[in-house]
Amino acid sequence: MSAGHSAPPPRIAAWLLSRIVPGSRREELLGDLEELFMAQHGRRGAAKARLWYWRQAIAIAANVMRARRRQPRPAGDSFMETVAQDLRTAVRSLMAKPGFSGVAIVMLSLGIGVNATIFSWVNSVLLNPLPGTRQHHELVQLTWTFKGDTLTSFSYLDYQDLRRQTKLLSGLAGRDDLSVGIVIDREAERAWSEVVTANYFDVLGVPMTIGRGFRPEEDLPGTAVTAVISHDYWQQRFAGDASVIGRAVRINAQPFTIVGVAAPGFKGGESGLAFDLWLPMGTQPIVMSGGSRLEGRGNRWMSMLGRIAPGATVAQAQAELNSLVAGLRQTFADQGRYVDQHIVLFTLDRAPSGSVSVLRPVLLILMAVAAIVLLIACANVAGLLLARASARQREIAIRLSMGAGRARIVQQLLIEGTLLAALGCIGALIALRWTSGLLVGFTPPSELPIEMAVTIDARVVWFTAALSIVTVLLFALAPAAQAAPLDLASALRETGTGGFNFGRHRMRRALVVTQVALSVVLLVGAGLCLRSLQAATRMTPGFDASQVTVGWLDLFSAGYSPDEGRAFYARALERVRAIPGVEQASLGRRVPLGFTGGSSSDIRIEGYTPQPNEQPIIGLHYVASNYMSTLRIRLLAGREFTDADVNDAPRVAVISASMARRYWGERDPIGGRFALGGRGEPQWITVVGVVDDIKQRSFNERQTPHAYVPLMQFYSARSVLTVRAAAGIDITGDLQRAVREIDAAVPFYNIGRLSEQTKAATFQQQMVADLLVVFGVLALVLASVGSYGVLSYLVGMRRREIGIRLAVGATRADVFRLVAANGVRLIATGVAVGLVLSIAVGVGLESLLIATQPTDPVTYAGVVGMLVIVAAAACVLPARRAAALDPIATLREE
Amino acid sequence: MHRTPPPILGEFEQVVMLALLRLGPEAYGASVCAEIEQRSGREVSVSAVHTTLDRLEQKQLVKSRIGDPTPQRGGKRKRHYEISSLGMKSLQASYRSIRTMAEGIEHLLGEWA
Repeated sequence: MSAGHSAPPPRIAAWLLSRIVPGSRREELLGDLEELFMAQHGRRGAAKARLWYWRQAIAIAANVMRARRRQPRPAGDSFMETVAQDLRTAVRSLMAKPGFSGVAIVMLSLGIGVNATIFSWVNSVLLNPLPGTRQHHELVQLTWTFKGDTLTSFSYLDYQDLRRQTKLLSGLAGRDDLSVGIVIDREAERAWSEVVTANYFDVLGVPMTIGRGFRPEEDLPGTAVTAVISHDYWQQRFAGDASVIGRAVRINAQPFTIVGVAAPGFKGGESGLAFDLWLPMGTQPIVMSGGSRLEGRGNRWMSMLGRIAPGATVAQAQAELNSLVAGLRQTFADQGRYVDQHIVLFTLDRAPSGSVSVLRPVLLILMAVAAIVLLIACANVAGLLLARASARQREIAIRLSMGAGRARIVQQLLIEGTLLAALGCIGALIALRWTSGLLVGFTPPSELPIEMAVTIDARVVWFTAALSIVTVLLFALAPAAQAAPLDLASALRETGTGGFNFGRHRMRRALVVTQVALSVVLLVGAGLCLRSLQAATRMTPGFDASQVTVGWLDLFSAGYSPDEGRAFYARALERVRAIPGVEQASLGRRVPLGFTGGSSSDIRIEGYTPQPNEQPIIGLHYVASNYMSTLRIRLLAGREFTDADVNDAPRVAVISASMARRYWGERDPIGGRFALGGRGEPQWITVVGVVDDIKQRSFNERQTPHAYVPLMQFYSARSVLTVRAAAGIDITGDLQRAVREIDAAVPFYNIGRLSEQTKAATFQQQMVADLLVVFGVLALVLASVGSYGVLSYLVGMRRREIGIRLAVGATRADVFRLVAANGVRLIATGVAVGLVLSIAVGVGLESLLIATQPTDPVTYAGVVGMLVIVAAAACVLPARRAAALDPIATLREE
Repeated sequence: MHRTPPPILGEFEQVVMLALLRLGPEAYGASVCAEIEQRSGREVSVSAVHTTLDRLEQKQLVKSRIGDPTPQRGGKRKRHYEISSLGMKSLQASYRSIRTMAEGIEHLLGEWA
């Protein structure tokens, strides 16, 4: 037993023993074993000693276990002990019925999983709209309301005035998106930037990973040309190299120096968009086309984010800002500024821009839908549990008669439910890893840097867990409540197949009606959205997107002056029109029905006197020659633009039909004149043509006045090449070549079919319809399984009655009718209730519907038809089984 | 005054008690096991020895105290056992009854006796 032989005893056995042996004897027992093990080790060798140790350990363990079992168990003494006991019972009873348990767990996983998925989207889109910002619930977006419209743009002077004077905002920052051309190591590419006020990172609470943020003086033009890049961009483009600080890059043909890398996770100041870099306000005049926007009170272009000061409320801050606006209104009374304009603050989850504004209505609908799916799943599981509860009535009655408290029985049933829900919850969380990412699949095609990534954080997990607890109350309480007031004597007498318990049947019937009604609601919702999409594809938005290819040109980042730009446009159109297969080609500043908004302008019209308080305002579009024929917009009068409408030709415009109606009425608009801007010396523009109204932003929009002006006369350095080609010809490569041959330095990007780009207009409908169809079918399957289950169960309960009926002369057809009628009545009630509820749902969906009434008869007829088929399937099988019963056998059963 | 007779010991209890008597102050779980093994030649289960010692202590036939930790035992302390006066009477009574029962028939038990 020398020190040289001192090998430790088998570690696992020693550990096990230390867990098993009660504390009072543990030390000396393990000590004795170790001492004897050493002796064995010295005498007989390691292997035999270890074997000996294990043998001893097993003997001890067996002994301890035996001793424990002999100890009298204080049954049901403490709450935790009864829970543990019930949990063991629950595990046993679930394992005894794997079929039942499996179905119940799958249904709960579905119900909980659907909700967890939608919540993970809500969590990412609405509850954490600007990831990477500190205390984002303190952040607000500032907007103007003006005669019922919400406008998100402010002038830089507005920003300076409000920021200087506000006390209830601890910070106020301005920002605007800008697509830029960036050259890194002589390699040119596109990037998305935000032009921001220097305090932007401080207000949002975004630290730098390395380097610095912007300094206050960088708001002033001509001070510094610096940029901060995003963590992602740093990783992708610079491989996370710290030497990026101080690197020189060219942005929109200007030399810039990278001074900082923002914290990981921060994407920018607009929800759902991921920006690559940030440029300080002082660089605005050199990176944006159209010169400096830092002067001029009417030059509203940037959006503003504020942080509510500690202790202040959103309402107080809003009141303070409006009192500041009132001051400005007085100061600029001679110019008539700020009249009828008020500031409204939106918390980020209600922001009127970004993915929040697009997805909020969709997500709210989906939340409701997911809740309905969960209710159906719960109704289904409740049905299953009820069926089992009936089968277990005798077990429960015996337990009651042996002295178990009713509370204890209810506890047992609730614990079984909790176990099911917990397993469902786990299933849902496993599925969530995959389903939460499905949101990305809905990303619409757009030139914007849309990022719809969903992260699963602790909040999602907690929500899922909490929801599971709610489901327990929903599905397990009903059977438990039913067990509690059970009449002992009658339950013991009952044999389980012959008797009737109408109360229970009422509850089961109610469950079927609920499920059917809820699935009708979902199917109607899905149907209405599908009809909307159908209507949208049938609808002519006033232009023909088929066979049109579009691509974005950025002359500004290539350093073009307006004159050089006009020359480029003329050459580009000439070349593109010469490509074989090209029928028409033009340029516009945006695509109709795309995600990016157009511009609008106050106007004055010759010969039209506005009402008091009326400010004529129109949507304004900058387009090149042949635009109308390229998009096949119907020309109602006059002419469209030609190559003759150049910069030194007279200013001309083509107006929309609603503009002609609104401002010219009975007069002939051709030859009429209007001017942009509400004051000053008018620069008259002559109307040369009238075209049909087209849908500019959405299929649901009201027709408002619009005018088109020649791009050559109202120059824009950014434009969309819009080309119609002959059917079946892909001209993408030809277009790229044409642009490259004129000037390879001009960025030409985001090239694609116009019909794809206009999908942005039906993005919400598409998303709701896709998900509602999935959920609706899911609901229908669940409901039909549930109905089938309940009907089969009822047939089982009435075997004896059916047997007697057959024995005394009822035909099998009579029995079939009896059972089928029973089922049909149930499902019909469900459908009726569902249709009534659907009308309310249709009204809720109305804002998303396109040319579809909330009471669309086709949808309702389709859903009812579908339900008839399902009802038939759910009723026929049990009815046939009932009709096939052998009366002798059923009567002998007892 | 009523006197309860000392409890009768089982066979293994007697063996353990005799081992305690032999070992004196050096009596603790491991030494008891080793002593029995050495003298009787049979492998004893540590579990059985401990259970027996526990039971004897419950019946107040032995007393125990915690000793000092020793390095051979991985620094774990021993529990030393000592026969109580009641235990001594029990052992005497048990041994006496065995002896009385065997008196005169030793030849029948063969050479072992």
